Amino acid sequence: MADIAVGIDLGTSYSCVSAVIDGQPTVIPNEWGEYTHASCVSFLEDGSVLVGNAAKKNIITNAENTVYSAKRLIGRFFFSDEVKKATTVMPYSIVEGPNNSVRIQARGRTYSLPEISALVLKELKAIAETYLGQPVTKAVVTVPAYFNDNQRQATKDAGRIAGLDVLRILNEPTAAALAYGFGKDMNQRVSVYDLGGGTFDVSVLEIGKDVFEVLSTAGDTYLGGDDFDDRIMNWMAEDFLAKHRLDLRQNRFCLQMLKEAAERAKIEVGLNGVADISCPGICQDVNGNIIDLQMQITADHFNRMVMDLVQGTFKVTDESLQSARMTVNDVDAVILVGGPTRLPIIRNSVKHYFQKNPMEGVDPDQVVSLGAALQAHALLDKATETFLVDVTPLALRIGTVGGYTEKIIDKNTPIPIEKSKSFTTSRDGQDKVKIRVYQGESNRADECELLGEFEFGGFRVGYRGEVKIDVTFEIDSNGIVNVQAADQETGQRTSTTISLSSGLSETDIQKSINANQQVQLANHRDLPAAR
Amino acid sequence: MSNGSDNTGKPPAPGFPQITPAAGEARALPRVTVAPLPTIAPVITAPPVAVPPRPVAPPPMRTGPTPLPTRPVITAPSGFVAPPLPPRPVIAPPTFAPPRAPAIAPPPRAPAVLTPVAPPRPPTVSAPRIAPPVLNLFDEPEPPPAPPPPVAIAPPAPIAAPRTSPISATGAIETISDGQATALRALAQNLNALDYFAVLGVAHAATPGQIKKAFYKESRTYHPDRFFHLLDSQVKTDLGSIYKRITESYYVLRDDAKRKKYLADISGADRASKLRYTEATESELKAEARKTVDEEFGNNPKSRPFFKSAMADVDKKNWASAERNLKMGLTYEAGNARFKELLLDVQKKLDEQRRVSGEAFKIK
Repeated sequence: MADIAVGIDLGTSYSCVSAVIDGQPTVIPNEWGEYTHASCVSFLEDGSVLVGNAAKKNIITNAENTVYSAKRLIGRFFFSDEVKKATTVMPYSIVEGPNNSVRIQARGRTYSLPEISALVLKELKAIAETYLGQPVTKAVVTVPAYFNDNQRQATKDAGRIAGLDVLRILNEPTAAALAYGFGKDMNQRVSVYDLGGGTFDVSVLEIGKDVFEVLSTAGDTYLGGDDFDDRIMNWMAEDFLAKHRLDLRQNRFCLQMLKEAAERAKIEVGLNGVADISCPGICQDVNGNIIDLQMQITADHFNRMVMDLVQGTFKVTDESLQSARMTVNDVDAVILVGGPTRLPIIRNSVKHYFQKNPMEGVDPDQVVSLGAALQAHALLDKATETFLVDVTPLALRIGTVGGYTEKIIDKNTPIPIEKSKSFTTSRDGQDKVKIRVYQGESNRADECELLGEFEFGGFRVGYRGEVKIDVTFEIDSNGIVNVQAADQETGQRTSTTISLSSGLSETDIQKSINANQQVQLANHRDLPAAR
Repeated sequence: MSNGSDNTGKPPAPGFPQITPAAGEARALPRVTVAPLPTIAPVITAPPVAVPPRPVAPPPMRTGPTPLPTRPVITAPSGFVAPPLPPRPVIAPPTFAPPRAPAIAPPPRAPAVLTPVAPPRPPTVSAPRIAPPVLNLFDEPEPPPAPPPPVAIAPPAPIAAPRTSPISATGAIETISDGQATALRALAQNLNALDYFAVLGVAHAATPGQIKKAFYKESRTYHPDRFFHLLDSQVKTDLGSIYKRITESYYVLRDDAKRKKYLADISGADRASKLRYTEATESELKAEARKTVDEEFGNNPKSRPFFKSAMADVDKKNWASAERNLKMGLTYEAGNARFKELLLDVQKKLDEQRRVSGEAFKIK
């Protein structure tokens, strides 16, 4: 059977898998006909793992052992704000691992974030294998365009752990544009507005027939549909507090019910303009009276609640257009991606901002995985018909003295690209040099994301300033950073060690691959555990 | 919910854990694991809000007897009686105590051991400034052909001979023949001898539109995705370095300011060393500026006015005042070599003057 590679949209709240079948990109449904699958992993009592929409129901019933929104934590350090916030609101247990990494505890076992995502990928892989009737080992996995190197690397590791050869880490807006422009022979400038569950990205692309050139990208990895839910949730909790003097947010089980109700209310208010919220028996007061939560939210009220979030997305959109040196009038088409873009308030605001209707007929939940499938197909194909030229979303920097950084590669530089910089030793007889690599827009190190500390050794030993080392920084097609160093005079390549990194070591990954193979997926009893 | 009213007015059902004011955290509560009260089940199932349009999965066959969710009871402090409530019987003080003290250990900030080398400075050896690392694997430390010289001799070389592509610009790539591989090898090694205009195959006067067109053309030919299915890693590495140079060329030439500077660079005398765009970084520019200021007025805000007036005094040949000012300035900034030297000069002048005036006095 012909080799096949799937495209996977690994989302914060929902994931989706597609493949090119008979030349047509197709979304692959699971056994029950579902096209999108909650990125939710529930560890069951018997040691098996439930993934997908069924697992989402366990957020309330099996809260401590059900992990969701793991994408918000992947590739982050334990001391980051996002992780701190998650430790207070998530019902599952988030602990610190080695090297400031984040680990999740469930049923007495500790999991790294790539391992959690790998379980979602394993489920998607199983869905694809069942549907296609053949083993699937190759995939293109998408990430938000604004993901940094740590997050991309962690996603790539997740793919490996799940037994997938990740052909490419693709940016979500780029994938969406590919799905939109593939085979249409168009010359257009398009803007992709991608509001997902946990992240917001916007990319401006120029499509010149078969070349998809990303002109600029901008984003916010802390803004997504979840924040809309939070607004409704807080409003509900405040109201309940005022009425009953009980704060539902203090209890994680109440909180989960609130969260679920808020998400439904958001969807319903978007569909019908008004939503009734009802959480019967959400809690008991001291006398044992069971209290229900009954509320109603109107579109008007909802819009007022989230207006500032919506405005925030257009600040980012401004930035992307500015970087592309364009105005809204230069944009030929607008593509909406992500579930929250179904909300009328988003649609209307986008229409108002761009002065044109967003493209119809593209399912905002599936377009990314379709694009990923097209790219996966193109990579295996001998007669590739599309060429993606993406950009790096963040400037690459190195640490200098005094907590400052210096820019090496600008943001929005086309990738793959490499740049070299000369360094010299600062002490006599120095036999190794260390550099810290950062990503971010600030010249202060503490405002940037640390990618790692590289140590170079094995070069000539000489007086200070005498030995010059060329350090080459490369950003590859996946947006992943590689660093190499060579002695300028002899051309001798030096050995490199990464002494600080949030990532997993090779042995960790091997262990995780084995563990992942042992895992039984609860929904797919008939599938062999390991292929 | 029928079961809801059942419990009304009764003490909390045995299975319900109580949230006491002290236990602000749900996880600390006793959890219901057995005693699945079937009547409670409806509470956890979907509230009657319209279900989102997503198809809902039938319950998985394997969830089994899941432990029922504990319906939490929120207890007010013991003095709780009726509506006119005392302070605020919220479960815990609204301060969100994070469950774990977040052990914030920002990575140790060791001073960077490296000092960036000041960039442009025409190199003494006219070796290609940056050799892509791949080259070193296969070549002698210094590549024998020493690529640039012929180009370097004639500075304003109008345009390097247009590259002939070893690969067809269109069509499927089945395999790369040995001949093509060798040609790619040679091209990859020769990259450092080409300027960006030659890489993209455009004239120095090309319009932005032409540059973009050329970039698209080169992308169609050399984009690594075209060769992704090939197994030969050497060919892929060569193609990778060629394509990386193509994107680099495009990145510089598409930007008017960068292109202007680059054109000036490669039209100048040390063209050979400037074939790759180099830009003084922000901090280097700043350091440069600071250095000039330092040399003129010192680098300490307190010493600067003294040095400034000292300079004025020297101009007016008011040596005594200049000495005073310099001494004051140097108390703030003892290490400034330039002004130390000046002080010695001024003191010499002052001595001379004193001697002259002293002698004159004697003579009178």
